[in-house]
Amino acid sequence: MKLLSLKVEHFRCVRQAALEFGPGLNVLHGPNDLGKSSLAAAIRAVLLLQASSREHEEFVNWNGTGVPYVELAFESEPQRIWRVRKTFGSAAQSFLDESRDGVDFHVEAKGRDVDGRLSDILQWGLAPPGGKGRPKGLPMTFLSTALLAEQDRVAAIFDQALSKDSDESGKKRLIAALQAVAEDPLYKLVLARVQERFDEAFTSNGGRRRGKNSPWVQVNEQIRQKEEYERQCSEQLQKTAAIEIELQESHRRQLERQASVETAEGIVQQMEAFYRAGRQRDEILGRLKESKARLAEISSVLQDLAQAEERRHAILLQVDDLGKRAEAARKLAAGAAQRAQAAKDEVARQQSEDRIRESLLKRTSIEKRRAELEAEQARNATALDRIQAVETAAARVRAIEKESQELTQSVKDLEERHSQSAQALSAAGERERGLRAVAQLIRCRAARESLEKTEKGLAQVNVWREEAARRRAAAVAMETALVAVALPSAALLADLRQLDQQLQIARARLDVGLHVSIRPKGGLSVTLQSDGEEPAQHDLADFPIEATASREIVIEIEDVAEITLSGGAQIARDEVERLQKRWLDEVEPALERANAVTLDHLGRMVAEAAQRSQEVQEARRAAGQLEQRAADQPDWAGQQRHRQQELASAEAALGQADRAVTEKLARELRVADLGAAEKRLETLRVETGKLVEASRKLDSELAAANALSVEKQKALAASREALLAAQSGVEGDWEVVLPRVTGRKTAIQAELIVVQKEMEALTTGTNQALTAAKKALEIAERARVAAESESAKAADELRAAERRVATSDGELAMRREAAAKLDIGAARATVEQVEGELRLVPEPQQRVTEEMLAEARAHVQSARDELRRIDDEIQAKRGALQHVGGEVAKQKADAAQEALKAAREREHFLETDYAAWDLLRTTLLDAEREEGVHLGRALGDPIARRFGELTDRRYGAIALGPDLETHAITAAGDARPVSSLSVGTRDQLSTIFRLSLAEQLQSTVMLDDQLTQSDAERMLWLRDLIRELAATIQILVFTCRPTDYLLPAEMKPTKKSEQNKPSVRSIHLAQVIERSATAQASATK
Amino acid sequence: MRPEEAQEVALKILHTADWHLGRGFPSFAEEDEIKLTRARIDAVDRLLGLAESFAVNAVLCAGDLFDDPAPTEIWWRELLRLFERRNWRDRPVFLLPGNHDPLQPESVWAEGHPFRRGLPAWVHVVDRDNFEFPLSEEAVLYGAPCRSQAGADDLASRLPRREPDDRRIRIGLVHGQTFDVAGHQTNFPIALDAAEQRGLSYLAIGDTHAFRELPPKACPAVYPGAPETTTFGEKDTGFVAVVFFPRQGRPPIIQKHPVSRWRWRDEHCRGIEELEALCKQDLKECVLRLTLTMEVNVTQMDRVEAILVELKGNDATHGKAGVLLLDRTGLELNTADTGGFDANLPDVLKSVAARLQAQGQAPEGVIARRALYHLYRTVKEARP
Repeated sequence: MKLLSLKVEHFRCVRQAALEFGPGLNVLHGPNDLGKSSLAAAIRAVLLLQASSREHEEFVNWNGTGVPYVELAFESEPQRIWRVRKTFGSAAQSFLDESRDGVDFHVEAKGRDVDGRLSDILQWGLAPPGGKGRPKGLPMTFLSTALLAEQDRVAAIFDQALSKDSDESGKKRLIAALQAVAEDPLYKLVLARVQERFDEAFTSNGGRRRGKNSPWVQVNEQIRQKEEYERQCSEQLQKTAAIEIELQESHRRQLERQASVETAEGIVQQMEAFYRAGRQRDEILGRLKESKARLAEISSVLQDLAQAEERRHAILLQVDDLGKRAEAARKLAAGAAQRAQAAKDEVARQQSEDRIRESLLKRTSIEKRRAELEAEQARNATALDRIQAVETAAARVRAIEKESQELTQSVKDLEERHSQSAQALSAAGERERGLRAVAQLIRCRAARESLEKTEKGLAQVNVWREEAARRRAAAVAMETALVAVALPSAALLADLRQLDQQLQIARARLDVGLHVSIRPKGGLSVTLQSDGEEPAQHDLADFPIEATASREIVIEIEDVAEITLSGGAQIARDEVERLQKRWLDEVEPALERANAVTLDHLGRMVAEAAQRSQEVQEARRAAGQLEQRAADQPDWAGQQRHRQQELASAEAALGQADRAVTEKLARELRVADLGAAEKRLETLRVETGKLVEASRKLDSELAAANALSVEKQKALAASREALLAAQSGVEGDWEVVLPRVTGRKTAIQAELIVVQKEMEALTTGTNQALTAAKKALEIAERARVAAESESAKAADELRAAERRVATSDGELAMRREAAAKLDIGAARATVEQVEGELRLVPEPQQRVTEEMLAEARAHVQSARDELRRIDDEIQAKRGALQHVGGEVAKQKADAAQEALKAAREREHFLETDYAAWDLLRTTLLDAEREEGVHLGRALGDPIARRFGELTDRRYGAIALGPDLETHAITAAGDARPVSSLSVGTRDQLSTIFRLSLAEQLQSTVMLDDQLTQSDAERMLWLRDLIRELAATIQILVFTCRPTDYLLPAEMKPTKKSEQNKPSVRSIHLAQVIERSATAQASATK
Repeated sequence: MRPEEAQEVALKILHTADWHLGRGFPSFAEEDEIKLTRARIDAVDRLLGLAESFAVNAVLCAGDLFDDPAPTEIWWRELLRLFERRNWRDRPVFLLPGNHDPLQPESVWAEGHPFRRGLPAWVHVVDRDNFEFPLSEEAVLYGAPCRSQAGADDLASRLPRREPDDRRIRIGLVHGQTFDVAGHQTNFPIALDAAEQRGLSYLAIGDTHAFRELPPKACPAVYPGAPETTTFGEKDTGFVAVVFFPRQGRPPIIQKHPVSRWRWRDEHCRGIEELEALCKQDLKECVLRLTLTMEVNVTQMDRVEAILVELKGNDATHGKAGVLLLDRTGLELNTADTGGFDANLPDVLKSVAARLQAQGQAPEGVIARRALYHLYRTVKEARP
């Protein structure tokens, strides 16, 4: 900052003043009370005081006229010129104008904004108006105190500190200024390079660069492209994966459905077999029923014939008996008629005189008759009892026969069921044996597969071990070959190469360029050899010869002499010789040992050896990996033995079973694994158990039935014997005899009643006898009538029986004729044949109806339809898979993912790397800032140095705090407060402090008569310092003693033409200040 | 091959596949990617030269010649140019569309495509399932192309079976994965015994990038692999198969010939010595993926950075490694040891180093550690 010009009106004692400042030392001098301090105050006021501040009152012109006005132009940086215009007081106005050339200004701010902008421009630690902490009145900060100190506050700087400023701008400005001084060159260089790298990626405010050269843009674009590609590939892959999953699912369902169809078909086949067997059995049973019915029919006919024969025989017997009965009845009737006649006679007799005699005779006759009847009745009762016993026995025989027949049929049924059960058991046993064989076969197969797997594993392990051994052998061979060749180490080779290079360089130093000219004076044979090339012989006569070489020429003159001309300094030649010797000592043997021609050749050999060595390591590593891999394998040999045992065990268990048959059976049963076989076996075991249980039950039932049958047969035989025994007591057929005996019993009972009546009548008297006779007659008549009726009835019965005989004969003839046409043997044979057929067709396990069969077939069809639908689905999915890419899509997706991963890793690395540059830059700045924050350290040294020079080293270091607060000064080895210094010394220290600060800030500093207490010697030293510093900064000195600052030649005011000179400007204020009238008067007085 | 064998040869073919022309290498820097993409065309040129030097009767290219069914023009133009430079009237070349470049209407194989139209008459495209070409009176070629990028069909099953009286050398040309490679059911699976099933003397396959010869010897199925490696981890790449078919039905003799320029290496250095040793190797034709896992002090870090520049090169010099792909995430600076710093540093720089060192001690102080290295490097460069 530099002040350019000042214009003041009506300001304190100054009515008007206008002056321009030079860039260096400006000594504004004049007598006391001229207005120097007013101008200094005007400069402070225009820069620091708000125009409307109450403080303006002290600026009011002393004669009370005019409004205080100050205008100050200054340059904050090259071509940045400002002009502040302030009118103080009630009509306060402020303007800030800006210009690049100092001629054309434009208004930059007005009113209160002016002070805000000035705070920004000056950065003196003054908060803008309205800002927090800005003091009222004329605000003074550390820097404003330092740069614009008032005349009476020379040492005020010692009481100030940056920390007391109303904002940080002053401190920041100082830090920035002092850091630049403190920065190490290396630090600056490092920071510059780091900043360069930072700037590649970041903007000044730390944001990422967005331009086309920004690394972020490039990497982001790469990632974006790769993400897009990866997304496309992933979509395709997802489609592929989804379709493949669906396809696998469809395949799974297809397999399930195929199994389901096969199962359903198997069930249908089985049901069809059951159905056919059932139908066939039904048909056979139908035929059996028919044949049995036919047999029964024939048997019935024959039985009917036999029964008819028997009935005819019985009827014949009945006819015979009836004939006898008719004859007896007729006889009885005749007897009854005789008795009736006798009764009539008796009646007549009674009616005669001889009736007593007759009565006696009669009684005798009646009693005789009664006795005969009672005897007959007893015989008849006996006969009847016998017949009833026979009847009972016959009924019992019939009942037992019926039971026996039923039992026989039951036994037959049980036997048939038993036979079927046995067959079913046999079939189940067969199936179980088959299944057991299948299970063993599967175990064999599984054991064989396991064995094959272990054998493969073992073989693989052997292959790995062999390969490992081969590689180790190869490594050993290569190593042996390597050892056989004695090659130098890489370091030695490098040394040898370096030696070789040094030799070449040393030889090159001998390449100074040689030229020899030989002019013969007579005939002479000379041999010339340049730089070790082939020697050339020259026969010289009159012509001279010339030879050139880089470093050596050998001249052989016949047998006279050999002259060697070498180039280069002796030291160079010695060096070549030394190096050659070393080459021969070190390089040559190495080449010989390795059988190499050149060092390059040797280098290649070493490189190859290194390569071989690498290969040896590689081979060993590979061998190790293979061995490790082999070692990591399971114990295949142990497993192999175990599997072999398993296989042998399974083979033994399979035994001699026909494998082809068993395989076929396994296919038929669709048993593919051991689990299925075991399941089937378990099912079969359950079925067999049920069959065994049923068979056992049948056995017991059959045994019980047989036992019962035997008992029945015995009971039948006993009943038949009882019947025969009973029949032996009966004459003739009891069935024929029974009605006759019964009839006779009735007749005897009737006769006995008659006889009893007769007897009673006879006993009761004559009249009564007569009555009785009449009664007897009556009874006899009734008996006669009854006997005649009985006789007639018997005759009718006889006739009826004779008719039945006739009928029976006819029927019998017909039956005989029909029976003659029947062949019961053939019928029995048919029944047996059909029964044989039936035995061949066992009862199916399940009765299958047509409906069940139709339902099962519908199920198969449904399953087939579903399978077809799944097949179609699979075809469609395969088509879709063809469309999306399958393996190709996978490969592309893998590549895209890998590329994206790589790009992201690059981005990550880039981010890390640039974040590291950012961090490094920040850390560099932070460290430097924190180092520089202790401003006292940076500023203390130059102040102490200058103060020491001024005071002849009487004072040492000045202790300044981080915020430039003054603590103490070292004097006589002790730290002392600044206040302990004399006023003059303190003023001098203050001036040095302020000048040093202004120097660091490259800012104007204003000294308002501050060294009035200094002695001449120190004043001289201070003048030199001020004049020295004025070469780089602007210094305004307000003084009434210009000679303290100016040389005599400089005392006259600087001319306009000299005003641009930077060095010293003398301004006689009396010539530029127009004092106000009152002031003038006062001054005059 | 013994001389007498050579005399009995009835047919010689060169079998190649998986050129992947136009394949990008997006993981690499642009200049490195260009080196690698150009190398693919160079490899094709070399293999065609090999075919000439062996005077083979035919060249079979078993698919994936282009990385995409519709590659940009520069690729097919360059391939046409390679063909045009050779006037092989008696040496047919057979190009088979693979799963990367399937036979589709928009592909280079389409009849109207300028590539297809520009092919010389002796270059044949296998563009139908019943492709058959008599290579001589004694030999015949069958082929079936891929028509999509994925498929579950065994293309070898489309080749006709050998008739009982057919005594010719029968060669099949298909693209896909043999069944022994797990998890590739959708990538045109080929039965392991396809050659045997179809009665082929030789089944030329493409897809797998490694050279593989599948038994039996009498009728092998062969993958020649990619002539230039396409990614790290691929083994046995960079070859073509030159196949000699002896007369009298003897098994073919298969020779494996290198044609690649680049060797792809994966190196992991765990110490500066290993890195130094690696740098001394000849890596000029090497695509090097270098992973650094080491902790170094600033001096060593400076050496590591110098070696990396030596390997990779800079604007002024070529790197020792042909192509370098660097993973330095495991490279850590040990800030405990700042012995590399000059003891005469200005205090302010010492202070900076101390601050960064303190920050770098924390596990998350990676940026501080890097900054410390930058400080070291910058001071070193700035020192007069």
